[in-house]
Amino acid sequence: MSTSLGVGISENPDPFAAGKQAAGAVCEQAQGNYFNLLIVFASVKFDQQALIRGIKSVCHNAPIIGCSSAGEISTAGSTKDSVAIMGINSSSATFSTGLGCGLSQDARAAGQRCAREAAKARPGKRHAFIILPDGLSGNGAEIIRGTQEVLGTSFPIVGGSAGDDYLFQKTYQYYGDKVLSDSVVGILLGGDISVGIGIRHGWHAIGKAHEVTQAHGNVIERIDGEQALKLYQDYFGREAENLKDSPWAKIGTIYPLGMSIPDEEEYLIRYAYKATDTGFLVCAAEVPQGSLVRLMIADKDGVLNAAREAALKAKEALKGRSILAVIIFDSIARKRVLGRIAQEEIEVIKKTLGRPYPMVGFYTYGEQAPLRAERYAGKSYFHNEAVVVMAIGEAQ
Amino acid sequence: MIATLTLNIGTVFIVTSALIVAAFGYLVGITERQKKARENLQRSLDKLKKAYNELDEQAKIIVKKDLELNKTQEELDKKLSSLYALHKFSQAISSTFDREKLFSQIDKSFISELGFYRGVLILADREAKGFSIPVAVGYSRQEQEKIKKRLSEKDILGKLKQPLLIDESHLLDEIKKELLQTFSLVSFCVVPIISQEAKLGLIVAGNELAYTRLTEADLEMLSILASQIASGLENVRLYEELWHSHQDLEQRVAQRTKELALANEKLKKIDKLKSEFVSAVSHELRTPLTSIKGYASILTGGKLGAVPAQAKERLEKINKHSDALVKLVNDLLDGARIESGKVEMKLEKLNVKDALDWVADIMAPQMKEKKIEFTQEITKGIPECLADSIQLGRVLTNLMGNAIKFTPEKGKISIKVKQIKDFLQIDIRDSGIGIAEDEIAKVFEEFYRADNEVNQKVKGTGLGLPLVKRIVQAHKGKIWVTSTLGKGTTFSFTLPKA
Repeated sequence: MSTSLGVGISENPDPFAAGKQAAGAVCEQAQGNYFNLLIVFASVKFDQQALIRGIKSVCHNAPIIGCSSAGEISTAGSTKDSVAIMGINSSSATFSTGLGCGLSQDARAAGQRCAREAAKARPGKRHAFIILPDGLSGNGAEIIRGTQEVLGTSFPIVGGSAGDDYLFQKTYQYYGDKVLSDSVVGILLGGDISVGIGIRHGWHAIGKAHEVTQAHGNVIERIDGEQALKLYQDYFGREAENLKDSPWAKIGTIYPLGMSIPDEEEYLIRYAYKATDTGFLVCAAEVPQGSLVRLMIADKDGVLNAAREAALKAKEALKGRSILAVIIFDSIARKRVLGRIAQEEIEVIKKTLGRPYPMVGFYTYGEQAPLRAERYAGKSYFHNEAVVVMAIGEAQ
Repeated sequence: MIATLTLNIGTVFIVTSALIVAAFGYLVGITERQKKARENLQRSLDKLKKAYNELDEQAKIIVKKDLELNKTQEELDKKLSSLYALHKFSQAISSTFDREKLFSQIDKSFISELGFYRGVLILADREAKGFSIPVAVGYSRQEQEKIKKRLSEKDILGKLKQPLLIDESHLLDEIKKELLQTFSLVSFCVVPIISQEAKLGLIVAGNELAYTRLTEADLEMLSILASQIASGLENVRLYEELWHSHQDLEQRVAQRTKELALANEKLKKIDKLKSEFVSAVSHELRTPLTSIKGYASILTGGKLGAVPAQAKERLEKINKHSDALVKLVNDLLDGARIESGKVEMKLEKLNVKDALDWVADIMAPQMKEKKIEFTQEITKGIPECLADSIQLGRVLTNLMGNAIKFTPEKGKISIKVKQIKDFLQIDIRDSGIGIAEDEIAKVFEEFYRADNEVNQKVKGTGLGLPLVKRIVQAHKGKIWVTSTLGKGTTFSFTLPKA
């Protein structure tokens, strides 16, 4: 089998030029301009259409899949206000893409449509389904359920929710030359390759357990019988006043809520990206009524350790087969906690994998990956605060 | 630290929760007989509950501290990256004296590195009494025009006394409200740019989004930037001033040089015209003079009959004056011809002593008449010189004639010849009346005659020395004079050795 790969980034402020420049770098590295797939992650600071036109001006016919982000990741490390592209040309691997629109109306149906479109292309060996949903609309967990209804509950669903540079206003999904919102795009990985996935967050629970007494989908309305926001007011004290007018996301992303799940080492995390005027918390995915939640807290060492473990897990899953490419879905909360040393997390991953393999990724508003414990039979869940390391390796 | 603590607290919680559940289970099954035991258990349970709540309170403290820490870290990170950006900016502008280059440093990425979303630099245009916007990040042309208009109408710059941090959610005074409306930002800083107590303009930077609310630290950063811009602009101004005055000076020098060259050109032309005129006139004068002299000598010779003594005396005067006139004309003509290069020097090897003897011989009667003591001193073995013998004769007779003329009776005249490198130097020294210091430089000028007793009595043309100078120069030699008034004069000239 032959696979050629290229990764390119550009920080050029002009969107067309940035697209052109990054795509040019991809071609140069891959020594050609024909690709089965172009994965694109970009800042919302760019005019999105112009950016895609710039990429298309270099790689005319390659199918583009990608989304806007809150910071980009590439072999070069972590960047912002940039565009990162990975181009893959492989004779043995297959990449079939899918699109599902209207997440805010029916996230599950959109997830189904996306998976169905990707799955109809060509039957054969399938390894994983990468999804890139809008991070600000719909219930992220429902999207996963929709895809599982098509691909099977144990089929690995991996991905990251699109971001918008912490603005929490609007995110974009790229599908061919289309730039969409309120949608999910997906890539079904098939053919003679192997996939290793690792996921970890490194947050710890603190304080009492609290019961979610009223919730609808991804909106937590009441905790312990009181307004959901009051939980944060209790823990934050004076600072809680700032939560209401300044966007919630700034602090909510670092102190999420965690749900203990049986047999899993880590809590399943949900952060709220918005507090409503009525004191409800809007999360990226559902928190079922009746769940016991605890406030979660993190420190830099814990976050870096989690990244190391996720990378190690992905590497181990490949059972010694050599790595061709690495895709990273990294929560914005991690970047926030690490601050100036955000770059170190990418270095830790590179070091753990052993070599600077071609790498692309972005800072996400939510992550999708399978749970580890055996009782979940590889079923994928929606996560927050996590880093997903996905290593694509040679065939088994 | 926090992580470990959290883990510990976590463990305690799990243990505590388990105990509570167990305790409840136990309590369900109690009977009256177990009342005492139940009371004991209730006490334990209350203790545990208390501990549980206390731990939650501790968790709250930890969260608060962590929140504080995170906020501080973010502020610090932001400040660090702003400082770094400012450092780069100040490095970049310290090496530029170009206004445009200075402004080009303040671009979108710089504004965002400082932590702002939009920014605008406005300069007051003193002459046009308006405003210019050399830098605008995130403002459309239309918005820029609106800003300029509002600034002119409301005298915002005049009212702006100090850096201001403005936030729409706070209570605002008049000026802040104006600024808010002018710049359409939610949270922003406005800083006047002041150089040497003059307000050059203002810089505004801020965010449209509520979640990136600015702080005093941002205001400090923008104030630093404003003062850097002010000093950058001051540098540019000083440099431009210097450059302009330098340009001005160069222009003036060039102008003067051009004028001088023109004047010089004119002078040369005039000089040439003069020479041509002199030469033409001299030719025209010579012919009639020859006739006059011819007729006078015919009359004097008595070929046309005897001439009365009185008439003869007059005729001889005619003859004598005509000779003087011929000499004058010849000198003029020669000077003009030598100057224009029309007279070719017939250079040959000459023994200087022969030339000197010849001159001394000619001048002997005059010297004898004035009882002048004449000496000659020639360095032994001196080489021959390269000269035109006729012209050298003229030089020597001229200089000797002058020496005799200005030396009183019983005076001294000496000639010395010595070799200096490739030249022979001839010094003719007299013990005459000398030349005043201010006149020394003029003696070689045409028609110049020194103002002294001798010249008042004896007539001269003022052409002798200029002619001598021309001849010497035509030999590639030099001529100069040293003199002390009342003591004597030395004329020195050089000729190339053969």
